[in-house]
Amino acid sequence: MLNLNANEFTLTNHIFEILEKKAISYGYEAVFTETFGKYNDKMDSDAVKIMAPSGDLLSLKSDPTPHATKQIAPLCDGYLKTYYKSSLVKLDPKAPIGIKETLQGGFEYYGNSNIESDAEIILLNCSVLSTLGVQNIHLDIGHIKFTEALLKSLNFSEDALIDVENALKKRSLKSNIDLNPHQRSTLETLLSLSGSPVEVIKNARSLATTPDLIDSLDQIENIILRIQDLDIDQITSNKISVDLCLTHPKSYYTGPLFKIYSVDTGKTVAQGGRYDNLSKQFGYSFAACGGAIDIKNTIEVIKMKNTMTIDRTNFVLVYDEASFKPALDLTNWLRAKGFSVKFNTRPTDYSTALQSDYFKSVNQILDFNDGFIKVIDQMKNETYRISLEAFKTRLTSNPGSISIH
Amino acid sequence: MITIALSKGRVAKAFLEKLRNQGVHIEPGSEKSLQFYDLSMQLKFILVKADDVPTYVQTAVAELGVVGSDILKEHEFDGYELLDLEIGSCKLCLAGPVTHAYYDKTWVTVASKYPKTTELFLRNSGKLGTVIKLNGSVELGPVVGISDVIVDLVETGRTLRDNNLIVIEEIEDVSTRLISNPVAYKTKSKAIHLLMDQLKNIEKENINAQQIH
Repeated sequence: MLNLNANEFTLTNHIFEILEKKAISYGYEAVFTETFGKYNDKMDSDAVKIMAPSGDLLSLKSDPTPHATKQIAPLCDGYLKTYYKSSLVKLDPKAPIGIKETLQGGFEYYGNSNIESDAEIILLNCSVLSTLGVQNIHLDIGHIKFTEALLKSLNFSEDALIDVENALKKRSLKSNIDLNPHQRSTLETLLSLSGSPVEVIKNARSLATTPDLIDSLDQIENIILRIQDLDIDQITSNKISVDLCLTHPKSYYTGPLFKIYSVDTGKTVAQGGRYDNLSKQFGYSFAACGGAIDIKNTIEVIKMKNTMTIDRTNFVLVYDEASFKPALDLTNWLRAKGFSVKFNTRPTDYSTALQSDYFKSVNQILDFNDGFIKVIDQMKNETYRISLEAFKTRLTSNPGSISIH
Repeated sequence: MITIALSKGRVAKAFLEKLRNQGVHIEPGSEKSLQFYDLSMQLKFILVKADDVPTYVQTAVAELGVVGSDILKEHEFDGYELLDLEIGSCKLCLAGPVTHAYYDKTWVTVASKYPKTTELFLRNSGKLGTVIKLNGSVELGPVVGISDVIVDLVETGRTLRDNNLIVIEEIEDVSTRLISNPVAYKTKSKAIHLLMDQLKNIEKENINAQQIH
């Protein structure tokens, strides 16, 4: 189901590597969540269900956050920061067999109700994307409590509420929805909010008639101020917007939400938010926020914009039966020095072999033969013959000529 | 600059007329080329096949699009539908011969340009059937026997009458929408709202004119 070709596999691994390095540098610990869990009808509506031999109904992990929260809950006696790399399986009527498998990598920050944690999650996601070479990103911030509290205050009928929620998703209020003048004008005001974050929040305050609504706007304001103080790469003031219609498909979000878009491609490359009530589902109570990189969309952006270069393997060393032992010795010598080396029998058809990604993706091909090495340097586009000792001496005296991974 | 993908033909003509009436200077005859601008170079227009408008918008090639709601539904467009432009208003209908037995049949064959929309309609109606995709002249379906009934747009009803077909059920109202990619909506919100305000002014003027009459 996960149909990654060789290149995407490399990209995926690279994305996970960067995510992991960033997470560790910020003091996050790895968490590995279980693949199966007991089915929960509130949280597993899009999960693939499986009947266990015991007769219990289980679900395949479709969302790492509840699984991770459940797992770490007994350990959370203060702040706890975790990261994950996970494969997820979800029901998707649009997918060929009605099931979609995706990859997700993300961060969760438990126990901290201060907006510093929301800002840090945003910072981490932006930082990963910047390191991956994803340029021209845009940060969108909303607040689920603002939207929910506002809709609640307007007292819609059940039918009207469904229409209103669809209208907010589509950013368009149809005239045939049954609304009284106050409801209609409030929603039109909400939908018309646009401009800089300062303008949106200022204008939204006219709608903030309850403490929940006021508090939500204050939180968004403070998160933006904190983000500006953190000076996050690429996220300048004109790269932030506030969207008070922003929602999330998962119902456990309770506070600020964010989405990060690739402006050039229109794709969402990361998203997340605060979910303080999720732990209560497992009998605990602590604040939590998190965010994740959309691996598939990020790979598509990287490929479309061709912005990422991955370090190439340094060498492929080819040998024949007679040169096997000295070639192996050289391979081990190079690897001990920190170079990456592939080791293969000499191809019978060089020209065909050189067309393959396996050979094209290395800096130098070393053809070991009778004490000499034929060097095909694909970076400098030159070929020459050199003795083994001269090769080693050259590399030892000028290791920078080939970068070590 | 905002790029707007326009469905070629009647829709593009009507939309550009609306903008011209609001003082947007677009050279007459500009729409003969596939890409053109307004005089102030704030708006760029690209003329594309109606079916392709959602794709241009979703991939952020165009910030806005002008296209029928029938296309959006078939395309399962998940961006923003900002305005009903009230251009080309008509209805999507289930239609068939006068002697149709749609309600009596346990299994129907339906010809349509909109297979996904039609399948959804059948599912919601609790009706079993096969949907046959046709790209044009859908009204011929029951006439030549490829289908029992059709799902198609109906404006005046003349084409149906000409082929001895009648409306069996009205499925939904269809009109032209101004659509946006969510990212573009956020990054170019001022310019987009300015354009929307200009277009809304036209609607207000139309409503006022109707009220006067």
